[in-house]
Amino acid sequence: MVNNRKQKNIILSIIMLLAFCYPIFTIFNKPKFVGNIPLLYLYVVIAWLLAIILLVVSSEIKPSKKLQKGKDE
Amino acid sequence: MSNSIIIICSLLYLLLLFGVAYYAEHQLKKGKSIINNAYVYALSLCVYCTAWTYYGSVGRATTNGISFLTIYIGPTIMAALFFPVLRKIIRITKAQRINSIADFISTRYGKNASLAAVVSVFCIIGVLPYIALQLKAIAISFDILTKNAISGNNFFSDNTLYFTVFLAVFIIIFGTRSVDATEKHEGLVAAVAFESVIKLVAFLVAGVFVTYGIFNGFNDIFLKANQIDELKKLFTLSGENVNAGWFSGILLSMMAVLFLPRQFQVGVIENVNEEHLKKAVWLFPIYLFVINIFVIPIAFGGKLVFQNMPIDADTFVLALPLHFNKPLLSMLVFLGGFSAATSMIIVETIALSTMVSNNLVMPFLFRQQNFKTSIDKSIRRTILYIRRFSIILILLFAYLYDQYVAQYFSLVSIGLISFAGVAQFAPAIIGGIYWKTASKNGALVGIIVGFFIWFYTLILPSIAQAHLINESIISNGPFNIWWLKPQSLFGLEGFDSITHALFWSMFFNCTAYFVFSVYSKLIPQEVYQAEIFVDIDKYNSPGSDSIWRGTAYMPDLFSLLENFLGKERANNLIQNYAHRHKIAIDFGSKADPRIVSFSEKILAGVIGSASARIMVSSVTKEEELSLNEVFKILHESQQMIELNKELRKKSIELTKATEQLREANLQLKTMDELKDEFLYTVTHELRTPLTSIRSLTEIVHDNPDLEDEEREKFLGAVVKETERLSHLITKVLNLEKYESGKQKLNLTSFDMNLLVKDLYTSYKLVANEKAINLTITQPNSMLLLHADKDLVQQVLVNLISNAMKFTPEQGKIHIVISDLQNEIQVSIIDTGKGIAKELHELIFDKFFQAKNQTIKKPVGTGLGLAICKKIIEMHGGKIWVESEIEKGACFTFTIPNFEPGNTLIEHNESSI
Repeated sequence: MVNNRKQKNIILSIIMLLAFCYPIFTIFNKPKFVGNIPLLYLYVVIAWLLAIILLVVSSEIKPSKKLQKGKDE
Repeated sequence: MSNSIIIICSLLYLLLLFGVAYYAEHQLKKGKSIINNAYVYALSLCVYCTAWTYYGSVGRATTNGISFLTIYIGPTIMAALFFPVLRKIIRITKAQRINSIADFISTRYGKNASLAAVVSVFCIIGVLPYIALQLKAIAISFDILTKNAISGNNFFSDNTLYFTVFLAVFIIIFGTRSVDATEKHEGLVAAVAFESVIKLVAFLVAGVFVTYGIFNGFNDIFLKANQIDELKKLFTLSGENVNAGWFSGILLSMMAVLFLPRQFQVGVIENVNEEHLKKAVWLFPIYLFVINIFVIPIAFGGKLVFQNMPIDADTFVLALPLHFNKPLLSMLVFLGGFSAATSMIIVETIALSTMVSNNLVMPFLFRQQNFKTSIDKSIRRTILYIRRFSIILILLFAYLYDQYVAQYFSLVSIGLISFAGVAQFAPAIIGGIYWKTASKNGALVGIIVGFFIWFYTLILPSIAQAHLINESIISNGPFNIWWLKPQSLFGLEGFDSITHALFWSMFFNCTAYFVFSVYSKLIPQEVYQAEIFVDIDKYNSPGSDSIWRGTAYMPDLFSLLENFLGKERANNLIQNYAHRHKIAIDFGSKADPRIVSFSEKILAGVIGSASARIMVSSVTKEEELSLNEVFKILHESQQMIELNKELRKKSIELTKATEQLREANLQLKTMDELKDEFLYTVTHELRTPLTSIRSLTEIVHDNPDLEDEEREKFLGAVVKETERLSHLITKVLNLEKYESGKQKLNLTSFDMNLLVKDLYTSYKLVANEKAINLTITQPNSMLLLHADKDLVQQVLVNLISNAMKFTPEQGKIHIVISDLQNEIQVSIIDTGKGIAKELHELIFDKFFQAKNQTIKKPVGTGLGLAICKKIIEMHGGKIWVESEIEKGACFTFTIPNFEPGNTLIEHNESSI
């Protein structure tokens, strides 16, 4: 289980790095607005929040019983 | 606001910190650790947010938009790697009793003293300006609050000095309690966690005030900012190679959040339980997210409010509430910044002082023959004094730097420069915990080269900017060599200075690290340490840590430990260790190699691994180990661990087996008792008819002149009693057969409905004779049952005749059969005298009637129900009774109607 968590965490960090860096970053680095909020700011806030939610899920939520059973076998 | 009020408030705040720290230590003495808590651990990690965050983020936001966020996004990404990376570092640190980042690197590379010294020196060079920056932040914020336009006047600088002295006292009191640097600083960590709360609350309050008090929310601020060109261009990131700058910022902060000395201190050394990481993984990023929400609004708000006023953007957080005349809020904001600065200073100073004392001063002292021979019990005090003196010295230098050097430099970038400095440790540490070939030479050369480039590309230009050296070095390169220009080394242009420096320093650092690692020959000690670090989970078990070979005498070793730890503690540690590993200790003779290794490890916790090695080797005679021997030892210890694991597994199995045996024994005992009881009751039951047979036959025998009629009567009674006797014996034999499992079920498929109906018809006559109303309710369809027909019939006969026996005249007996999908249920309901509730289970016991002589004895052997129960159980069914006294009884049994060849067979087999 721990190993599983390790792998999940490594994948998560790679996804986060990709989301926050070139080239995905350039999609949002434009002088556009959503409402009155600059697009770039909005993107960073949402992506960051998503990243935090994924961190909570990956470290706090236990895999369902079914999955765990699958692991045990 | 008047000076005195601010000073009083700050002092009160510092006293509060003392209180928190004292309370935490007090609680610990009562056996309750405050820092042994995931939330406190996560909050202590937030020492990452310094005054540079608190004031500087806003300043950076007004010139570069959201590029300041890289400093907080990086740690968020790193948080995802806490489990694979930080946890491993924590495990190694605990197993090896490491007490600083320099100690970590040196321990990994063969406990090398020079490596420890180099890392320590670089830490100090890289971090001292950062501490100075915190003092500067306190000074400036103080200045703004008192509205002293010019900073640096005498009166004010004295205040910074006072604060510095106060902090020094605080750190000395709570930071140098124990000589063992691996011991947790309970009070300090509690205080730092507390400060994390204060700075967050203060900054959020300021943010809400600016966003919703001065403006009408985020929309309003962005709308207004959009009308000003200077702010409008901050909505996007622009400039040459902006993506590279953004990426390097993230990368830099990812490394900084692990390898800044203060982060290493709170995250690794002060970690009480690695399970706390689980919560820190997300709590820490949430903290970083929340503290940054209002940075942009405050930055834009400040710009909009102070449009043309000469106010430094770094101070907007404080200047805005002051401008709108909110003294209380301003005070709170000031204290928030004060807490951000002090927490950083506290932790960083502790971390640096450990490095200075353990890696610079002590190795130097231990190399002096005079000092080494004069070590006695006073050494502990000496170490503590060295550490205290280092604390004072570090703070003094930070103060002097702030007062006399800082004015020449722009302080804005000092944070990032520090980050780039400590990033030079990343290859040696990350490589060290995953790559066994990495060598001391690689690490040493890599770090030195990296630091040199760092210094050349980042520090040199700022020195030149301060006009301390000729500026032409920067613009034209040294000796007019263009490709040596510090800010565009080898002609690399178009990047910001940090990205440029990070790229080149990392490039040379990593290259040197790899090349020197691959091409240098490892010494045995390095191989051993590499193995332990990389495969920490494999070796992380006590008793597997002896690489030492040679001759050592217990008295020498013990007196060494005694000097550093005190007699009692040294004795306890050694005795415990010896006891755990079953080593016989003779305080007058040679020491076991494991004891030597253990002593070295304990000493490492006090004076660092490099110094500990020097000390231990000074009292012992160590033999050089060859590489092969090291591998042999490693192999052996690994085998030992495997063996231990196997043993543990075996012992668990044994415990289980013992438990099972105990249960079986208990069962046997009860069965034995039951057997006795059974025998007793059987003989008792047999005796009753035997007695009457004997007396009857005696009468006939003794009275030959008995009348024929009389004789007939007596002989008839004898025959009846004999029948009863043989009936009883048959039943006992049957029961014995069922219980021992000798009786096999003769399974056939039959219609239960029909069986019951037949019985009903045959009993109907008898019932009519007794004037009992016998009725039946049964479904119309066939109820196919796969069971032993004769036995089931026996049960039915038994139950129905019981009912007949106990139902008085004019009574009723009702038989109900129902199909419950998986089983067939039969109930026999009578209107007899009923059975008391407490007997509902007992009546199914063998000879229940015999055992309960006080109860009025009905007719029968007392074995019928027991046999019924056994038969039903053999079929996998259940039998029970529902009844109340004088209200009749309802006997019910169920038999599962399994398909032929299904579970029933298994059950049957298992009962055999």
